[in-house]
Amino acid sequence: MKHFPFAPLAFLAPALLLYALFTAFPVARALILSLQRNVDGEIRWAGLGQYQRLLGDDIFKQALFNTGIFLVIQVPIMLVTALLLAVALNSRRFAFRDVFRSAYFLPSIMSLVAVGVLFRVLLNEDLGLVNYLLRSIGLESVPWITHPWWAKVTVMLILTWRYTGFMMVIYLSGLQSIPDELFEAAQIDGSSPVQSFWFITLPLLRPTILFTTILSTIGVLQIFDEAVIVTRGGPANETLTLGLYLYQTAFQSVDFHYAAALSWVLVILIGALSLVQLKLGEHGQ
Amino acid sequence: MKKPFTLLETVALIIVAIGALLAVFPFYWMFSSATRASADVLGIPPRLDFGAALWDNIQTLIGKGFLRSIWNSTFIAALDTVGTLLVASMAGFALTQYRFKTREFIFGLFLLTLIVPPQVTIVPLFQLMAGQNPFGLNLLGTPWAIILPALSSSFAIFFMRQAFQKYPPELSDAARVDGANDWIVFWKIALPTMRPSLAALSIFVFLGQWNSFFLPLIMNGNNTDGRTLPLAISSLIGENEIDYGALITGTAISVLPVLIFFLFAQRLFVSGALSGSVKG
Repeated sequence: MKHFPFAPLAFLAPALLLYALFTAFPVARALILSLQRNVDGEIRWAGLGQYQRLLGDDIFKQALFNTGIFLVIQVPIMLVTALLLAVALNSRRFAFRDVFRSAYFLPSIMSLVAVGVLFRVLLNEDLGLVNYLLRSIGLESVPWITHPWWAKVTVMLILTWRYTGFMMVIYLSGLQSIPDELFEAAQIDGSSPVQSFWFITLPLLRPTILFTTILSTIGVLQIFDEAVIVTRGGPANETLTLGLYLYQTAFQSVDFHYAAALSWVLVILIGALSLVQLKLGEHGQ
Repeated sequence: MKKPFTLLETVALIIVAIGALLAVFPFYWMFSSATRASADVLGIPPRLDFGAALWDNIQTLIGKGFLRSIWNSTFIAALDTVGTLLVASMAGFALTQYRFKTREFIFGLFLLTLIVPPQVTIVPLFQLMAGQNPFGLNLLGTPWAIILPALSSSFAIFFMRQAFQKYPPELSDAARVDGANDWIVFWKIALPTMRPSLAALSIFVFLGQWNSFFLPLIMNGNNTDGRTLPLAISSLIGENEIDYGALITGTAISVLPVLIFFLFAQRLFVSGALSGSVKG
């Protein structure tokens, strides 16, 4: 069919215009800012000076280390839990499976600010419900917010509570694309449920697992809201994340150029980690 | 007909049930705490019952300008939803109903932003909205500084592109034969067939904006009157003497609409409509 020749462009115009102004321009501008420095109000080119500063910045290294810990410990625990839940709740034999699915998904509809508030109060060291329960079964109070390692555990607990059900739903939609006949055939051939999981479910779910891994990695690199509300990056920067450090640098120290460099390091990290995971994901196929 | 549960299945059922309780418990605790006074929200021994302080807590919140924040959040989320739906529908229509050279390239551009973290744009966006720009925008502290950057949502464009892929082009052709121009075809013929997709997308966009914290935190500047709900709640935490009753009540108020949406559209959430793009 013939149509007005500029029609597609006209329909795309609002999206492209907004994209140019509020995404493309800021991303490019951030790159330029990161290559400059502010000397008493005068903007000068600094080459890679801001990036070199990062190499010698202990707080940056601490934030990077914290983020790495979250990635290596929390992400696998959450994804394995979510996968097992999805497999269990995909079974028709499972009682009340729709109710359970909804229950597990529920935390992911809550804003991170609300999640932060609830956990902050529930995990209060002297008066919180959780420590009260621990004491009542003879354990000691846990310094959830004030101890360097426990504060990290707290952040990981919050992430797990909030996102496991969300990941489970993604796995469930992946599982539904695996034909039931495969499992039935395997069962007839004498395959146990564990064998079916290992040799049918896991390989066929590979793209979904890859997707959730990349999604969680990007998420962890950007942790901000819950850290602000619960720990404010403390104690002594032990739960400081890259996202939080960037915010502090830009809007508390008002060092836009350094913050821009940090933000580009974040882009590069996300890009690189996603690429590595994609390659690893393809490799095993 | 059903076989009895095996031991493995029984154990799995018990573990899953305990996990589900842990997932849901904070919701119960939040709504019950909203009815108690500060000392009964955080105090030994902890209380789990419903109290009589709900109205007092609400009064405290109103005294701190909470109604204004409810309005701000509603206004911003509603406007963002209408705008995003329009922009994304038009883009999705263009990307599926026309063939042109740069089509895949443009779609790729939008996809690319899915891996660009919002933190990257935040400093330049702040400068842009604070008036340090050649465009003459000076919007910091207004709702527009929060709404405008959200309108071109890659997720929404992606979602609407997928929806329009199922639209039969013969419908448009028939209308064109009758003399309808491209806009009429889009607005009167194609868009009305997208109602279910638009409804689903509007829920996700609205809730995403309702819950968002980072962008409003930066873009609201120091405008106390412009605070959205998450900003208002976070400011309650910053006070020297935290009123825990009011804090939890405020939090519960911010979660309530989300919960209602969820209960009505449960299938949509749990079916993985969000992750429709995932199947590899």
